[in-house]
Amino acid sequence: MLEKCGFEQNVIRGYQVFLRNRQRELMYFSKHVFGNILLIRLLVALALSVILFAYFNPKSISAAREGTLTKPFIRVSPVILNITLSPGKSYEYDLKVDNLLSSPLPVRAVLDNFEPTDEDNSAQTQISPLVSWITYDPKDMIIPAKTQKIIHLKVNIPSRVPVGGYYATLYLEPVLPSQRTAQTTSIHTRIGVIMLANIGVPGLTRQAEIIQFSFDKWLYEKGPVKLTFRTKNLSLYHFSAKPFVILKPLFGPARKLEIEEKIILPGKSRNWTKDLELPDYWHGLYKATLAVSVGNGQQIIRSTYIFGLPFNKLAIFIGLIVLFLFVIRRRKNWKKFFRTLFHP
Amino acid sequence: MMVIQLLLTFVLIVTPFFPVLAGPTSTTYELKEYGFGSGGTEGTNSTNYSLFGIGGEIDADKLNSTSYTSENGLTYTLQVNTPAAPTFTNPGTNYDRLKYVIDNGGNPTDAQFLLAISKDNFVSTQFVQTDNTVGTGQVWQTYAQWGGASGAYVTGLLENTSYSLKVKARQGNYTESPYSAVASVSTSVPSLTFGIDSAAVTFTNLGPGNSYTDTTKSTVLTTSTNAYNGYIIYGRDTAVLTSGANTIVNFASPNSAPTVWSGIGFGYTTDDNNLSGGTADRFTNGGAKYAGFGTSTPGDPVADHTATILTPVSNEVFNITYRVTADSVTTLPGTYTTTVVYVVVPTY
Repeated sequence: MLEKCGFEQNVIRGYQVFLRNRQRELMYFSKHVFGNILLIRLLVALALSVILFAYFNPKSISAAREGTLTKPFIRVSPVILNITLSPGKSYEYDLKVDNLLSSPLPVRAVLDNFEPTDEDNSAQTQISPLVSWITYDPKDMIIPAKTQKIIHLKVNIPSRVPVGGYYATLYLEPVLPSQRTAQTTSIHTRIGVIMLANIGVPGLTRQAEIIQFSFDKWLYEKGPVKLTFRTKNLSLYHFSAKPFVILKPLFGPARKLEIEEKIILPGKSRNWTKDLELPDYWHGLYKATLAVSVGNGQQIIRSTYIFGLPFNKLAIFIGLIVLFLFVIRRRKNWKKFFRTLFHP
Repeated sequence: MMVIQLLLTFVLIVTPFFPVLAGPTSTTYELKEYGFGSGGTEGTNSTNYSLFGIGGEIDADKLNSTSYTSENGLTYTLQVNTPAAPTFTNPGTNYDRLKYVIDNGGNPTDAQFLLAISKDNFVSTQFVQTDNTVGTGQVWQTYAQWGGASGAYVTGLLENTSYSLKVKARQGNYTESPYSAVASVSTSVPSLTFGIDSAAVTFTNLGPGNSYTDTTKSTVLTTSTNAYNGYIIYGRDTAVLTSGANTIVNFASPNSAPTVWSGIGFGYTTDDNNLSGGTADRFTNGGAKYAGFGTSTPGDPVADHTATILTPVSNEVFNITYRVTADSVTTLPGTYTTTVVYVVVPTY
């Protein structure tokens, strides 16, 4: 990159010399030559200067560098396999791996235990027999430039296996050329393909529980309202929990706020923290109802109450009342004052 | 004898007040005259027109033309307008949800709609539920409750699968319309694209000239995905910086509580100001804060995208900047190396 900069500076210097020569020629022509030749040379010099300035503009160089700096080199799909399996059966899946580089890319595939993120997104290793039921091919491959390779996955489920959720991760490790010869700190990458399998057919009834539903305060002057809730999966299967909150004032229409979905693994709980914006006319008692949809149209529901009190508006209102009462109580004095003022 | 006379008298007086029943009756009404029709006659055609008879019997065949249907034996004067086919799309190339916008067919605002969905062209049919998941129970909601003109996303779908959607309407009893035409669209495949700008970092030689410190080296992480819950990139090193038997320790502050740099060690900071695993802007608030890598798998979060992804994230860039400071007395000369591993996984 530095060499390229040096080259560009040399070209710019050369161009400056070129322009100086043109200026000398112009002076010569102004003294000795008249007519069309002068005009043509002037126009050519002008056109060249415009083209060269545009090409060697420092901003253009900077943009080009940024574009090439952050180029991704590997694409994997699907990156989440959310599947339902049956005991005693075999299943096959294809994983597509794309080399986006213009040179061959060695890639190693490694099957490992699943590391589910906890409520705070910290990862914990979970050992699952699903790893031993999966075979895949190839394990090591060299993907030619700008092409795609398929990894074939085969899942053989034993005939006698407890129903429930089973999980694994297939890591894809690209091996970049400089990693093999690194004399200093080398940087490795891995892309994890998550496999979430429910074995057996989950029942229509999902068992889940809202174990926390709270706001940081019970009295708000204005938004945002900080909402925290946690939901625990009490069933053997994982499912996607889809929450929404309904804020219902004593009078007036309710407001429904949708919140992002998360998959909850068996026995695990997930945490949501949201800042909810409030309407401008926020005051009075509100019933906040949290409904978490756990699939098949089922919801688990919990409610609480929060109070909206606009202190500023209230203070102005009370001030006006006090002023009004003061005026009323002192009306005799005011009458005297006005009488004195207008009829001295 | 006396008893017989009394009975005859009672019969003569009371009998005229009893009704004579000729046809089927209910408690209140009697059908005086009735008969059975023979049903309509089907299909009288000319070149330009087709006259359909009315099916007079409940089990008569339904008569259809391209545009109209004559239902069996019933008059549908109260029937609501049949909605047009819903708009059913996958604008964000999502793999587990599809967007629908239903047509209200010019029906009143209190008309209700039923959304039938199928992944086998209605060989088996399920219905969109109030929470927009798919279930077996029929759910009728108003146009506004189904998202109105903005529509909504039906969720919990299978990846890489074609789904069909059709809608019918009603406004009270006996007003149900036929189903609309069917709209179909497929879910996508969840994908993740990842890259780093360099596979190695070479620190400047540490010495008195740079106060035994280099803060100029970094790694650029670039990610693209359509995974609904985004992704997390974990970082760790396989060991401390090592040169034979000599080492430079990892910076002491943990990822959950990074600090302003002080002392010696090898650490990093990230420009992700909304990072999971602790206070969101803990690495960026009030200037760069540093943490040391851990060696346990999968590592600590160094960059992520935690917001819901409805439109795919394309080439999202985060910078991890390293810092190494050696001790001028205790750190012995040598080439110190280690391996830093970045693991990117979709958030589920």
